[in-house]
Amino acid sequence: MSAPTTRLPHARVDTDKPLTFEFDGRRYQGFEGDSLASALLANGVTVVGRSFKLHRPRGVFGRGKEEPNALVQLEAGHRTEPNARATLVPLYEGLRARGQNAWPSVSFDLFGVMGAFKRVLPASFYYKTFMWPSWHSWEWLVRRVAGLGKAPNGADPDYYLKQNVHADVVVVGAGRSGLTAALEAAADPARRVLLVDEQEQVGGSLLASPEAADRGWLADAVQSLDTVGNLTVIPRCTVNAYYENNILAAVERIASHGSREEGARPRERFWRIFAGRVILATGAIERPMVFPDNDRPGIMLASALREYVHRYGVVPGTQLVFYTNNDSGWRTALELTSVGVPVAAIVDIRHDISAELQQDATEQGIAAYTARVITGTRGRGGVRRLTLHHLHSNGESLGAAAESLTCDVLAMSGGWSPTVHLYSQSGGHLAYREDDACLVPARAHQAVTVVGSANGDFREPLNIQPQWLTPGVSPEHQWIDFQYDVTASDIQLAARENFVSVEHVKRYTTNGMSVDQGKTSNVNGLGVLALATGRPIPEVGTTRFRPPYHPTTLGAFGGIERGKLYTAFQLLPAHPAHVAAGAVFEDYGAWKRPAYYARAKETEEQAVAREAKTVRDGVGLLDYSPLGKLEVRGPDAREFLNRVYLNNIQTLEVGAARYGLMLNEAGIVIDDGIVVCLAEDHFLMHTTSGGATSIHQHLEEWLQCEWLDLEVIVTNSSTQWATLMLSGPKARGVLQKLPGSFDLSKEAFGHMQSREGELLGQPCRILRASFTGEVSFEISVPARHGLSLWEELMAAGEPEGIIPFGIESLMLLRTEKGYLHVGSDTDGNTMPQDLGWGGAVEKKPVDFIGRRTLSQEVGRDPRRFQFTGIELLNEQGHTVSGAHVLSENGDNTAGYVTSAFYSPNLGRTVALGIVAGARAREGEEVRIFYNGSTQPARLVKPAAYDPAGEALNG
Amino acid sequence: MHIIDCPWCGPRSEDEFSCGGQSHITRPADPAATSDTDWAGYLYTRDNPRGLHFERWRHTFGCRQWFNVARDTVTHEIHAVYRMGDPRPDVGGAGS
Amino acid sequence: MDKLATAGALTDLGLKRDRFQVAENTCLGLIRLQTFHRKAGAVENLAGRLDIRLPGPGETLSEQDRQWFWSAPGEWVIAVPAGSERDALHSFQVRLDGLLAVLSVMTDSRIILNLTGESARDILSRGSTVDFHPWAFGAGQCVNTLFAGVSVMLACPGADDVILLFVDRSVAQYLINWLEAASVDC
Repeated sequence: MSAPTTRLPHARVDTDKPLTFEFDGRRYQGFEGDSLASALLANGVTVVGRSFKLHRPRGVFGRGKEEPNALVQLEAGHRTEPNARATLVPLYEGLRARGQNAWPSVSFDLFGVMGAFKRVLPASFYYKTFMWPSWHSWEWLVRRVAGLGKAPNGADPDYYLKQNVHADVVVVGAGRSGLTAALEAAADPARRVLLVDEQEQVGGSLLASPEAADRGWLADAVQSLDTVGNLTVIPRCTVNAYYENNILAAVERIASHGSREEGARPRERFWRIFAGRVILATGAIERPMVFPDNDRPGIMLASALREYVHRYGVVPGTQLVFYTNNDSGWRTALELTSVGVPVAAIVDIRHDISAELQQDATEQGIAAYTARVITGTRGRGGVRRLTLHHLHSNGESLGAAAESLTCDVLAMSGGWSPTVHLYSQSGGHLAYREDDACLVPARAHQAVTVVGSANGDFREPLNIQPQWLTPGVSPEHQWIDFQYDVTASDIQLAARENFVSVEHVKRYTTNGMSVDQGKTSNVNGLGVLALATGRPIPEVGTTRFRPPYHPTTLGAFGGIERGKLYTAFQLLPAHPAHVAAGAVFEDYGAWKRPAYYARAKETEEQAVAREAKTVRDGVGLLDYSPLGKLEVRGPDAREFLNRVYLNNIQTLEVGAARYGLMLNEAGIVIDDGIVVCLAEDHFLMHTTSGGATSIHQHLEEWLQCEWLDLEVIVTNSSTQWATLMLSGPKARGVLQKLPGSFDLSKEAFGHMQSREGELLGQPCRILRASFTGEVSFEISVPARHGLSLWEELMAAGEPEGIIPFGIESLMLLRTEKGYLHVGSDTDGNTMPQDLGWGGAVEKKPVDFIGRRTLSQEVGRDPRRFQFTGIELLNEQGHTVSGAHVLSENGDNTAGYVTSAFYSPNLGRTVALGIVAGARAREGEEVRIFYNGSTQPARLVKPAAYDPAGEALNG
Repeated sequence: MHIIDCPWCGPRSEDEFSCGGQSHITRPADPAATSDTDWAGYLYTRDNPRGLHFERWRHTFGCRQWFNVARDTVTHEIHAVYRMGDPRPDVGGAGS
Repeated sequence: MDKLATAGALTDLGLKRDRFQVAENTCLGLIRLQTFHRKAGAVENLAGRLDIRLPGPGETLSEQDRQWFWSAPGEWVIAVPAGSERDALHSFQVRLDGLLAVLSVMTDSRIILNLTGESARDILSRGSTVDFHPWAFGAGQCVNTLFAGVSVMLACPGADDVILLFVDRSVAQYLINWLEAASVDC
């Protein structure tokens, strides 16, 4: 381990609390309050990463989100986090991190040889080179050489929350301007004010101020925050997106890596913020200077150096040199000397610099090199020497004589870019302000105010002389985007190749497209493009900022809604009984329903065959509760249903039930079921299980949007009733054992009849319909009695050998009978004439939903896919739903098998399908293709079992 | 993301609503007497304006009611919300 | 047995955390009342026959041992003491005879959860975008909303900080699992 490091006395780190950490396998020491970046600098670690494309060694460059270089792989295993900015990771005991995109380590990277190929790896190199034979043949190589961190392999062991919050005023950023705005807004106690800040502690750049006045102001403001009841502060929270209607999305970091809370508290919380008014106090980001080899470790932003010295007490070198084109670089240098940190020199490209600054610098022993540009840097593993040339007053040509300057830290200030990302996302327009060479908010589109340096209010004049790249020397090694290795020459190349739009140049060169989203490269890139195309910057425009401002973890987007909570599930009223009976559950829509009940050593097919056979020979019980039950009442209920169903409802008598098909206005079959007339003005519609909600909505839509005058009230009572289907030749005998008010005799209660009464002391509705082909009673009682009814029926049926049966067995039984299942045997084109209902349509005297479309050209096409039975000619043959029915010449699909089961009752496979023109082709032979082989089959009537329908009338 | 001012429930976020497309489409009074072309137009022909659009939305997870919305398809601004059966309001700007 | 048993309270459907508790409320029976609100005067006629002020959008109000919740235009949920649904329904039917008004018992289709604890509103705001601050959602208010991916009705009938959550009985287990996961830090 390295020796403990000392810090400047005014630092905001706690030197009484040392922390041990590991980087690239070596152990170091830092302090509580450090970031990983400050701790690395304090330990003299200059190379912390390798660049994306060229593997150039890179050092800490920034102080926060703008950091393009110090991306690390934090921790290992399932909790590993790729691309963590060392500048944003608070140090903790035992932290382990590795540099990225380097092997075996960032300080000795075998791929570093890539840097020598800079000349042959210009912008668009990949687009132009890896075209032949295709990108895929090169991808494996490129992925290995170019890249960032590695995603974890296993499931994320942490959990994440999502939360919504409403506020009258939302302030983003808690620097001087944000704190002021928040406290002002909260002065009105009727306002809810929310202050969101992304740093570990509030204060923004005040945290890096050595001045007593600033520190006092901040301490006072923090104290006020605690006392204002209508002001809520969310620290450690980054606002990443700004949408319409002042809706913001933010991510709060809760349990940090390595904290005691890790695993016990959520890792992050995703906030959706609904704001009345938004105040953006997001600050400004300093820009680098653009000159040859400006990416060498030790070269950093002046604002970053300021932060490391004053906030963390780390002086990362002994020969500190500043390079600037504006006054803020001088002020930062003088602030360092004010606390006794010596600055060797300031290099400034300008000829005219205020006498006051020059005098202050002289007094502090700082050598001033004015009207000079840096034309090169040297040093292995870090900057050691600078080359300077005189810049003529035309700003374009250089003097011949070179000067040399030693240096181990070069602090750059190329001006300031207000952090306008969120403002731009909000729809606000930006304008280029010549005086300060930056983009500032110009015209808001939503209720948003921008304050402080985010609005270009820099407190003191910059007197900036923009220089987008260094003239008179090659643009080849003048870095613009450090993360994606984009240089001034790349942007010039794009311009030469006639990319004019800034959006195109961005994508062609990838400038600003890496994980930092161009926080330090955007404006410099615009400047170079403006020069290359001979246009002023406002004419070049800027790229549109898009969410997220900072990369967001997928875990935060997912929240708790993953795994079992990914989506809502529904349980049946008799669920505990199904579990006890060994049900194998499957998802049918949201419902967890028994597919079948497995007995020891039974396969699924065996269980389904046993259940289906028992229903045909004896009796079975099925939980049919998801069946949709819509009650339609009112004086116009009959008229309404006559328009909703293809079938004639006008003639349906009280107590009678009728099968009905429902179409949408495009003539497509959307649902079917039994409709019962309970009273003249009261109907009970049964829908498919999946249709309970959607058909309810369908009915409401017609009543609310088209037929507003029809006096009809629809009630969805699907889950009020538990429905059990008792089916089989012994069903009546079993039901008769339960005391109730029903006459169940064949004569009194025939097929397709419905009765209301009492069963075992509870209100009960019984429908005689059949989806199995056997005598069936669909018995409904209030849902809380469903479990009890299940138990009573199973007990009553025990002497008869009753069994519970599942959905798969029901599907087998109805396939044997050739009963249509809407959704299985229909597709998005099926019309009633494809199902044999063409005659009924013609007989119905009045209009109904979808009728007119049936006679359009599409409805008359003889090649329509139509419902049919499919008999396999090979008795041992089997097929599956989804198998293709081939066209006559075998080169195309002319239909599908839609349902197929091995029938234990017939001893062969039964199948249904939709086949081109099938209704006129009964008896024809076809070929069925599945999984590489074909087999012969014949189109037949759908009902394979009991085609006369004798069983269900028994 | 929209905040939609349901005529009954007040402003709610878009999550609770479903969009039903263009509004003020009248079903032909006598479908049987409607030509194939006119029927196809009723079924499928819709405006696709850049700007003001009159459409219908349902407060699916609230009061289940359909209502009309005059929305700008460029700015997402909602200019008016009005009940089914009410006439199209004059909200200014380029209409469809 | 000569009577069907009622499924007991879904007793494991409870949750006790330091700052958030969920308990099934089995004291209430529910009736849905619907009228054809598009017809002029329909709602006024209904209120006249019942001789009460019907709650408007977003409102709930108590009347004797009943609580009324606005659910949709022309539609209310009425909470009555558990077990008295049929009597209550009958007495309404008598009063509303001749009006187009539909009454349905819906006790079986819903479970009611009492949500309590200082974090209850935080938990609600993790599942729905509605503003649950007491300034916006207080005593006498109710909302129908999308919560945790399902349709629910939430109500603050009184000033006692108990929030009622009404949800379809079939998703009760899912919702409890969801509330459990969403309140780990409470």
